[in-house]
Amino acid sequence: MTDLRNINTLESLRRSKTEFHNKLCRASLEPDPLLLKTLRSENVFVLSEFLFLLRAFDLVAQPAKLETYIEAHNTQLRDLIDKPEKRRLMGLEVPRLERGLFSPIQMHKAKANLLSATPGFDQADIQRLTILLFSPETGRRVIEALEQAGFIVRIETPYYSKIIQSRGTAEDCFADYLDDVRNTVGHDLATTGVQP
Amino acid sequence: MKRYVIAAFTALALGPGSASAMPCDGIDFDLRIAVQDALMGAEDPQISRLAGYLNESFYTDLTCRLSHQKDDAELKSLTGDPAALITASMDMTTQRNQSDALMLILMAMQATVVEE
Repeated sequence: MTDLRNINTLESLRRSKTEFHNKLCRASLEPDPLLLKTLRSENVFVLSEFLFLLRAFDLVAQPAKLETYIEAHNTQLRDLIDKPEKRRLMGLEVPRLERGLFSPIQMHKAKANLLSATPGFDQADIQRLTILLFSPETGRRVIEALEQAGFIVRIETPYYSKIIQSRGTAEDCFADYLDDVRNTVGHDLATTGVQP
Repeated sequence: MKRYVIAAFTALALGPGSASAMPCDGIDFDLRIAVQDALMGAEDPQISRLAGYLNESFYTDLTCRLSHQKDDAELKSLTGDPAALITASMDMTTQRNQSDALMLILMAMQATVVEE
C-alpha cells in the first residue's frame, strides 16, 4: 500500500511538472521548435520558480523588502565564500559567488529601478540574484528564451542596462503547477483510501 | 590528478551529456581549435597524452558545451589554462542540484517577511 501511495504521489508530481511545461509551450508566442525545447528545460522551470517567488514575496513592488532580500542574499554568498566545504557541496566557486554580490551602489540602483518609469529588475541584478542557480551566461540565455516566448519584456535604458518586466505568464504557470500538485496528490491519496 | 583527468575525459566522451540538446550546428571553429590545442599542448603530460587519444567529436562536443556556458572572457582564460579547462569540463558533465540553491533563495526571501 505504501508503494502504491508513493507511486501515485510520484505520478502526480511528474504529471504536474509535465503540464507546467506544456502550459508554457502553449502560451509561447513563438512556435520555434528550439525555443519550445528550451521552455521544457529544467533551467526554465527553475527560473520560473524564482520569478514566482519574487512575485509571491512582493519583492517586485517594495524597495524596502527588496533591500532586505538583497542583504540576506549577500550574507548567504559571503557565508559560502567563507566555507569551502559547503561551497564545494553545492558545486560553486569563489569567483562566481563574488560576481553575485551586490555592492551598496548596485543595491541602491536595484531599489530605484522598482520606482522608475519602467519599473522592473535590471537583468544584471537578476543574474546576481540567481548566481547560485546559473552562471550569468546561462541566466542570460534562459531570460532570452522567456523573452522570445513573450513571457517577459526587456527594456534597454540609456545607461546600457536592460530592465526586465515580467508579464506574469511563467509565474502563473508555476502557481498552477503548485495548485496541481496540491490537488492531485490529495486526490490520489483519497482515491487509494490511504490516510496521509 | 591522473584519475581526475581520466574521469573528466571519460565522462565527456561517454556520457550522454547535454550537448545533444544544444544547437551546435555552427560552433566556433577557432574556439574548437583553441580548446584542442590547449589540451594537446598542455605542459602536464597526463593531460596532453590523454588529449591525443580523443577524436574530433569529443572536441566538438566540449566546445559546444563551453560556448553555451561561458562568456568570452571565461573562454579566453580557459584556453590558456589546460588544468582549468579540465576542471570546467568536469563541472559541465555534472548537473548541479539546484534544490539546495532554491532553498537558500527561499530562505533569503523569507527574511523579508515581517512577523506581525
